[in-house]
Amino acid sequence: MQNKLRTLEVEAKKAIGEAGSLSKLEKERVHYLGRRGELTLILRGMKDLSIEERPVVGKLANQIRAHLEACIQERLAQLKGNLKAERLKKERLDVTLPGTRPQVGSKHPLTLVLDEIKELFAGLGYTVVEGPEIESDYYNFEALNLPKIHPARDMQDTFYITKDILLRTHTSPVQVRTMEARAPNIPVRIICPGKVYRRDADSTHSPMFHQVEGLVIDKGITLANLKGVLTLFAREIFGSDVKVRFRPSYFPFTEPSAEVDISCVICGGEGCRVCSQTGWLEILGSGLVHPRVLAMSGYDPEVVSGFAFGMGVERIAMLKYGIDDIRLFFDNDVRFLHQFAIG
Amino acid sequence: MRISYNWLRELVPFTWSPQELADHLTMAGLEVERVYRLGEGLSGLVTALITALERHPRADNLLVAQMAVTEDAQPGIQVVTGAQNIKVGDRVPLALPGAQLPEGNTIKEAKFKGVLSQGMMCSAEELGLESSPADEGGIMILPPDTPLGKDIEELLGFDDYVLELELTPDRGDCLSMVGVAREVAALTGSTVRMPATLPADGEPQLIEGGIKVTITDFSLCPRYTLRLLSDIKIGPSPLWMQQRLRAMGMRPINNMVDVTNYVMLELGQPLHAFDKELVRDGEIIVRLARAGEKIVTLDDKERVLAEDMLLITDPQGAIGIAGVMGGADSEITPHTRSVLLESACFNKISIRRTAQGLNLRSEASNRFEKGVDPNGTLQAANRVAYLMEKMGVARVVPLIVDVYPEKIEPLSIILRPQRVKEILGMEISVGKIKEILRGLDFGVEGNNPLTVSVPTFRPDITLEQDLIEEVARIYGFDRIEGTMVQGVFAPVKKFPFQVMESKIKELLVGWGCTEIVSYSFYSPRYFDYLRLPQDHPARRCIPLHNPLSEMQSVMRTTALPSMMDTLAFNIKRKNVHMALFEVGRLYWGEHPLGELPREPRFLSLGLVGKEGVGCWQRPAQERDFFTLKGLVEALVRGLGRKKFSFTPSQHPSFHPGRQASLYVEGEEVGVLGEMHPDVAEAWEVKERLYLAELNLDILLQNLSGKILYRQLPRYPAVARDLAIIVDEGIKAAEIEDIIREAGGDLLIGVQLFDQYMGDQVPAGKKSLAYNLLYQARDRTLTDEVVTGLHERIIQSLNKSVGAMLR
Repeated sequence: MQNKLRTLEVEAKKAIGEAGSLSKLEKERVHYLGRRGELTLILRGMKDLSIEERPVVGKLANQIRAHLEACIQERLAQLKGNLKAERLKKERLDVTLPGTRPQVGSKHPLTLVLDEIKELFAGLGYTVVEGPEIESDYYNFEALNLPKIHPARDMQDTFYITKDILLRTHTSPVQVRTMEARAPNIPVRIICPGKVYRRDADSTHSPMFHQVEGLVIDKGITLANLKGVLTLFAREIFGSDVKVRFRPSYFPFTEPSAEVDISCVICGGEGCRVCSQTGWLEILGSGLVHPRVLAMSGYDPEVVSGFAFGMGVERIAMLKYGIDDIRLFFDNDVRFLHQFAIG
Repeated sequence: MRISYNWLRELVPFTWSPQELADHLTMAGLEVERVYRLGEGLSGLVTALITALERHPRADNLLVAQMAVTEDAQPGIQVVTGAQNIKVGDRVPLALPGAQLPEGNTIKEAKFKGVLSQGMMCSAEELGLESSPADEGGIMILPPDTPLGKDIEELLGFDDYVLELELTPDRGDCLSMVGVAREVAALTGSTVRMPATLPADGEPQLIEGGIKVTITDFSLCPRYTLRLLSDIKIGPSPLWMQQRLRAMGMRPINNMVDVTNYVMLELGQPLHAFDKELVRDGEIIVRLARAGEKIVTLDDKERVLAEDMLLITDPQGAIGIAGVMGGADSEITPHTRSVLLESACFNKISIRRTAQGLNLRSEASNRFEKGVDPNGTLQAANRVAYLMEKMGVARVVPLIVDVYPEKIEPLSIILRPQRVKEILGMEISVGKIKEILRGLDFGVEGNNPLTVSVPTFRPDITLEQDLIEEVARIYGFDRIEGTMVQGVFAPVKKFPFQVMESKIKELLVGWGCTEIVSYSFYSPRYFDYLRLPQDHPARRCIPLHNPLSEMQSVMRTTALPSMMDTLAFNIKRKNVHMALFEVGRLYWGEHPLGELPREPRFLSLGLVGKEGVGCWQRPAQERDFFTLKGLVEALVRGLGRKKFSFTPSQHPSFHPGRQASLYVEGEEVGVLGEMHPDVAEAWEVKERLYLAELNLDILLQNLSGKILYRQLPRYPAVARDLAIIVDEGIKAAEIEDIIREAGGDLLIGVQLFDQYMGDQVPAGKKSLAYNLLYQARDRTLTDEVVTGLHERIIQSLNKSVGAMLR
């Protein structure tokens, strides 16, 4: 019987080793070790053995079973390994085929620039405030030190609805509304983004465009403060190596008034078509809030002072992205818009 | 305003190059837009005399000229020309072979229909100059005493540079050479050399011949000065003066007119010369126009005047529009023998109104509008007299009328030196402040505070802060060091709308939508395109009083046309697959507009074509009503809205069977659907378009944005499918309501996963298949309970809408 067992062991081991697939292996396992397998059949003869022989044969049978099971496990691992290797060998993709991209849209370039500006000033403690686009003559002009017959009104060709109601020509009326509402409380730190309108249309002027206006009212606000914040702004938006200059100018609602120029982002200040050979680009107008404007809005110009600045968002976007025609923003050609997808 | 570099150097000493001058002026607030050399790119031109002129033998429109370029007037050059304004004896600029013209042309010898041409006669324009009436539309005619063979560049003063200033409207004083010279003097610490004038003639006296001046309203004309010039010899002005006028962008006319223009450019005082013989009855009256009164101005146009326009008149009628333009009737002619020279000061608002009202802007009105120094009229009149006499073309009669009843005195302003520091944020010494102000011709007295006397040519300076700006700009803005604002931060409030607006944009962009920005105004004909009935509220729009065009003439009351425009624009350009959105405002007000209108915010969506185009793996999917609705649903959910529903709607712009209104918390937020084919056709689009317009003010109102965590369920959920057959007309929303109602709290999910209409179900019926999810928070649901609920749902469906199990 022991011989039978040993013969079986050799035979089974060979069969296991030769089993070429998972199913064959399983078949061999059932054949030799299953409930009705060869080993069980042999062990049925145990009852004919002597008492002394039984434990010896039993022990041997268990050893052989354990050994064969180990062989099966080993073969199983081998076969699985082979299969995996085979699968991996077969599964070859042309990884240069395009991926299945989720559809990605895009924000309008003006939104991108506006978001950037808002974020920058939010970090400096400015609150975003909005106001009406259809405005009264009072808030758009008179409260900003621009009485009815004032040559500076020529600077802004206005769309009128009635004699006293118009499309705002700048976002400055929001400043006045805010000052009126808050005076005499300080500090005020706001930016006012929004649409504005002027009667003008060509490749650099649109009858509708966007502005962001900033206003700070507090004790001891100086021209130096204005220079500080706008220098920071220009460098954040156009890059830290950009040169910034302040040049005296005139706005009826600020005094002193300054235009802010940056070194040309196209030619780096060498002089090119974009900067009309000057090396400088005008990006915004600014100044200290005119004492008359402060007084009209309910602040005492002897006690507080403030600065204000305003910029055209289209202008900033055109310089930042190298866009040469303002009308592109409002044509909304999707081939244009998709160039601003962040995805 | 143009500035001649050489002329400026005569008025004030400085060593800057033209470019340096431009930079310094710009940084002092007088922005220089352009600097250029006169006659840039010009060479090889000489003065030449036409000695003979005959028709081209083979071309009627051409002339063959024999020309001399040497003082002995010996012809030696033959030129063919098409110009018609020349005659034998004219002296003209001639470009010889090899000459360069500003446009980059090089002159060569050439044959015109067989006749040799050895050069080209040039017009003023070809030399980059203003033409004069003598040579308009033709060759530039030089004065008869012009030497021959001279280099044109040298002769015309082309070694000069011109600076183009873009002046701010407050700096009327710099509309003159002397004004700019004053700035240079302040910047360099030098002094202006004022141009020579005749000595003032003492007390004003009546002019010989009994000229009398009457002013009816001194607030409109605070000062009126007249000076008589006699024995006038009208002729061309000297070439150097013509050249300066041309460089400054003005046309030479004749010596009298040129001198008044020259002095205006020099001193900023507009002047006008009347032919004394043509002023009737020996009186000049400055008065307002009468209703319907007319005048023919120097440009030979008849002008109908309004009653608020100030005129210069004689007792028989108007001879000029004050400060704007003279009348043709009293114009200087070659026969003029004596001249009444007007040097006056007019009210700037009045001149501005008149110029605007007549749509007639002149060099004079431009200066009067910005304010002319009332104390400079006499000096300017004297300067003209001086120049005319010096040129030997007039005799100065020492008689002047000067009506100036109330002398305008310099304004006095107190300036506190510490205020300079408080405003600028940097210290400037009192000594420096005084030096700067005096450099600008301000009078300064005292130390702390300073008493500053503002010259009357600077009416823009009225406040202490104005003086501080003067100090700062001459000191140099670039010398102020930037500092950050100190102090307490105002609490930064994020306004809910702005937060939600960016969230909406983020979500939609993430879902593949592209943002557009369109104009707030459009054509009212779009309301017809949208098929809106005449009484539709969207037609009550706000019209602009002065639109640029009919296409941009009313403020938008609905965003649908803007989206239609954008879709149509792109489809025409073969961009046919799009998902677009816009966030903006509408303008709702009564007409006529009494108060400011409401400006509700909208979100519009526009879909067309397929999504997933160009993917090799999966077919692209046609967008449809449900693509749009799904987007709206996802967005409404994404904003945290739970209670919302869609109901069939009847908007005239949409497909009658494919549109719905969105309701949130019982309030209508907007409409979405497929556009009516007539609407698409109106925009010349064949594609099916899917649009939505939502009112964001309503959608976002009372949004709490709060999220409350609920404990995760601890007991398993049980899923059951339900397939029913109902009449085709039964709405899915109704069925879902019935299911939820019958299912109660234990039914936690209802998901439609199939709708079927066709052969497998009876005609007029549809099959709907749902996946229902049951779950209790406090126990494991038994099979009996779930089955009981499921049965109840089936019965309820059967009872309410006659649903049968499939």
